[in-house]
Amino acid sequence: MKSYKFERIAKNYGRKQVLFGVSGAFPPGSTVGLLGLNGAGKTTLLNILGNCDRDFSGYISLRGNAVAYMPTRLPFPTFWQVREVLDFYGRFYKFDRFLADQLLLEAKISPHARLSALSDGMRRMVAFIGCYCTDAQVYLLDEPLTNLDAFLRAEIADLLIGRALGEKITVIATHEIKEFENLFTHICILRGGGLSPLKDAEEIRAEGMSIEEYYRGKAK
Amino acid sequence: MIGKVFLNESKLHVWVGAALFVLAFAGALGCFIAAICLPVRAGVSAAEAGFSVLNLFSYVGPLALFGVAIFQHRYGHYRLAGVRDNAVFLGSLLAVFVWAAAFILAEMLAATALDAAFFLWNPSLRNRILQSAFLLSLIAHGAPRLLFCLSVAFSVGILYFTYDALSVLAKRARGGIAGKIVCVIVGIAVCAVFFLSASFVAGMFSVWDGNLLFSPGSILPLNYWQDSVKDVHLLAAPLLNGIYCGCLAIYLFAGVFLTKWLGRCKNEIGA
Repeated sequence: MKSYKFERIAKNYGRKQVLFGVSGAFPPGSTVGLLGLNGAGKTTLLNILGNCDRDFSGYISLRGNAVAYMPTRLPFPTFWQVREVLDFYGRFYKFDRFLADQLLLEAKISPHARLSALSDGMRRMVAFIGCYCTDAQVYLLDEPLTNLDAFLRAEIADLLIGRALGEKITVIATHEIKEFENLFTHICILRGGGLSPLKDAEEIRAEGMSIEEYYRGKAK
Repeated sequence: MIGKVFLNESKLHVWVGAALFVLAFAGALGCFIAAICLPVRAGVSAAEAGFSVLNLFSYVGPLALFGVAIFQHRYGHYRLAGVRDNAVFLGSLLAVFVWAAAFILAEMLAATALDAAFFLWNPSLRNRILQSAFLLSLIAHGAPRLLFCLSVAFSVGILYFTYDALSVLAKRARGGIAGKIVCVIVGIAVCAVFFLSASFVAGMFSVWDGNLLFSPGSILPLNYWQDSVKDVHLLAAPLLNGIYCGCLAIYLFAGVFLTKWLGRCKNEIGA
């Protein structure tokens, strides 16, 4: 599998320019931490990389259903049942329905529950399960741990560690760096509408810093 | 991909269509039961009301399905799955067309069944009912009236096509909100003028399709206003009128050209 590249991604909302020609390349098998302050453009960038936003300029090497994206808000009708969401993923992706049903069971989410009847945390979990069980080449997760309890956080972290051994590329935009401290293989920081060069997490650790310390130093 | 979108869209269409059909049929059946129980004059009125309920729902049903398509358009779930916007549009259009046709077909069969029941039960009472009430009955108009399903579905499809073209126009127009509003108003005006002109021109030349008329009372060929025998249904597209179809081809070409020219989005997948 080749690396995942995007070049000169630029995006503006009206007169406000959010991304100024962002470029990056993530190697196969990497788990990349996409870090940045609030309003830096992480969600905007992931929306673009995850097919949801198509009004931008630039080039992305993998699009369509080669990419699975867990957005911050599920874009499904709220009257849908959870199983309908999974059916949807099954229709448009290669999808491991058996695993999805197992994960739902472990998270104690009924497949017959309507999205409107679920808590925010449970909806986040449904979004994660939908994204995780698809057979894509690139996984994009936007704040995967937000609103989740300790049990579900641990479960998501374990699942992502399991996947990190393969050739797939996982990109995680998060503020909760400590939870993924040992998972990240690379780090990049989005700041001022631009993306920093990819930094190997091992190099950071070799310098005797944690990723959070490195990020705090860079984000200042 | 279009087929997958169609399947995904179909569920809500089927539910809404089935619910409206049950409502229409229950209403019509209630009126017919009343017609049986009431004295003759009131019975005729009740029977007419029963058929009118079905006729009314031949507007409500297809327009509701059009509304369902717009409603489902609001969510961005197809984009999340990496489906191209054009495939989403075509899948939705197919769903609107197929389920509108199915709804009208179900209504026509229901109207025919109720008409047949009347025919067997009390033919003299049936003869006193206004002819226009039998808009959907195959007994009154013959099997060719089945083309009415396609005719209505086609109209609703054109409506959805127009909505889509206007939404692309609104999305891609420049000049801020004011510019978008102006573009949409001009777009709606152009569509309205075009359809009125097309109907008028096609009506003037309706003599051309004289051989295609299923008389009496076929609503498929054009010429609503010149032939008083014909029923009027505002959603019936005159599919057998060559002039109208020619105008429609220009309209579709213009809509597709506009959509391609402006683009549904700036950076489409695979573009």
